[in-house]
Amino acid sequence: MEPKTCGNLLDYYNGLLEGKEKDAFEKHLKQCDACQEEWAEWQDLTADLPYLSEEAQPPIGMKERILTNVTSSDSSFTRQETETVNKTDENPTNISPLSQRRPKPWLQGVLAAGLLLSLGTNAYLFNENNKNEQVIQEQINKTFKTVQLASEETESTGVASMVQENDTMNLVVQTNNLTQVKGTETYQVWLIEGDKPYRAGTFTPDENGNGAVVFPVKFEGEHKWDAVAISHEPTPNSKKPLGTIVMASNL
Amino acid sequence: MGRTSDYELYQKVQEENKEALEMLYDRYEKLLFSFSFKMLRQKELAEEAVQDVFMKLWRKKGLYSEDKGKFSSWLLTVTRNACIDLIRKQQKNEVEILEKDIDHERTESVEETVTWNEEREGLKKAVSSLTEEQQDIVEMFYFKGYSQSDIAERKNIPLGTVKGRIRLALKHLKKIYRERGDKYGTENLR
Repeated sequence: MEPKTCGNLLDYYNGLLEGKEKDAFEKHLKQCDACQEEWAEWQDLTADLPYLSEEAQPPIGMKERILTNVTSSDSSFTRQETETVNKTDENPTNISPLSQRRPKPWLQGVLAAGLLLSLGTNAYLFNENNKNEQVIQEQINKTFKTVQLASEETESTGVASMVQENDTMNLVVQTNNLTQVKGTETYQVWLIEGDKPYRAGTFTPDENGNGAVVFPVKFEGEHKWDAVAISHEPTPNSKKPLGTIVMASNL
Repeated sequence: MGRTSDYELYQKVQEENKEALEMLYDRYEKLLFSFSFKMLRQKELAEEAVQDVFMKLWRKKGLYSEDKGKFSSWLLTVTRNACIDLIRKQQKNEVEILEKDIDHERTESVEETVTWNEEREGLKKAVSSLTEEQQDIVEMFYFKGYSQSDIAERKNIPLGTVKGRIRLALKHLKKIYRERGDKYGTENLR
């Protein structure tokens, strides 16, 4: 029994030991019966505490983002193919290697592109209704720009990406939680240059308010797009936005 | 009645079964997110913590075995550690974690979701039987991940007594709460 080392147990429990001190404690823990007993005691004493958490609603789209990110291939991550007792999983580390791979907004853009243009590698398409899994393995085309779309007034969210496919620039739009359309109503996507909107395309979301569409961008002349917007239109024929802009973002 | 156990799902996840991963995700999303949000107070960070947990489940083999205890307890431990990693990272970046409002997503209740309202009420009652200082040190130690020396300094108590005080508070909590019956022998499903 080494009192000084044993005294580090709580700080180890809270991920406060680093480097040699941490390694030394882990080595000590394997050999010290008293610490092992105490470790088990702390695990037991704290087991109920997470259930003190007030119920919090996960953010919109969290499930889709996480499952997409988790299951998409990541060559920078080496799978642990053998059983491991890596303490970084059951004890905190100071910097989690996974936390450095934070969900990237552009992944959703790539996902949509993968779905619609057969782009991407191992893109996991999440479908709430039939939960199809599509694995697409083709060469990734170049994504020039991706922006998050969000609504100030509703829970609608989306991602828009400009993706080069061969000689064609495509606008890929993926949306979630759009309000259902009625009758002739549709959603229209607009590319905006200065104060002039260009109609990029029309779509109708599925029964869950989700949609993923791709529009080739083929306008004459050179353009420098300033923004992308989605409007809820009374008909599919609007030459300029007549309805409500539900989401927009600068490009 | 036909419900796949956590361990069975975990084993399928080890075989890279995406349906099993999704079932496990659906079962624990709200609990893990709520717990992470309590610790991190930022929805973006809480989401990152939950993602880190599922990354580990999906990409690392053999992390969990039944001799490590209940899967749910183990999963919550992994979640807490993911949160602590993020807290440390924030501290290194000298970014203060501020409490923010959270977006609410109106979701229909998922049939297989771990719920814990009744347990939370019981625990809150048990917590209310602790002194204010005991409540503070439990919060600092468990949910904020403070060191013993930080707790000693902030609560103005001798460093040598911190561990004992935390233990006493937690033992009292456990006694009061578990007298009502351990609710976690099986997960409660809505």
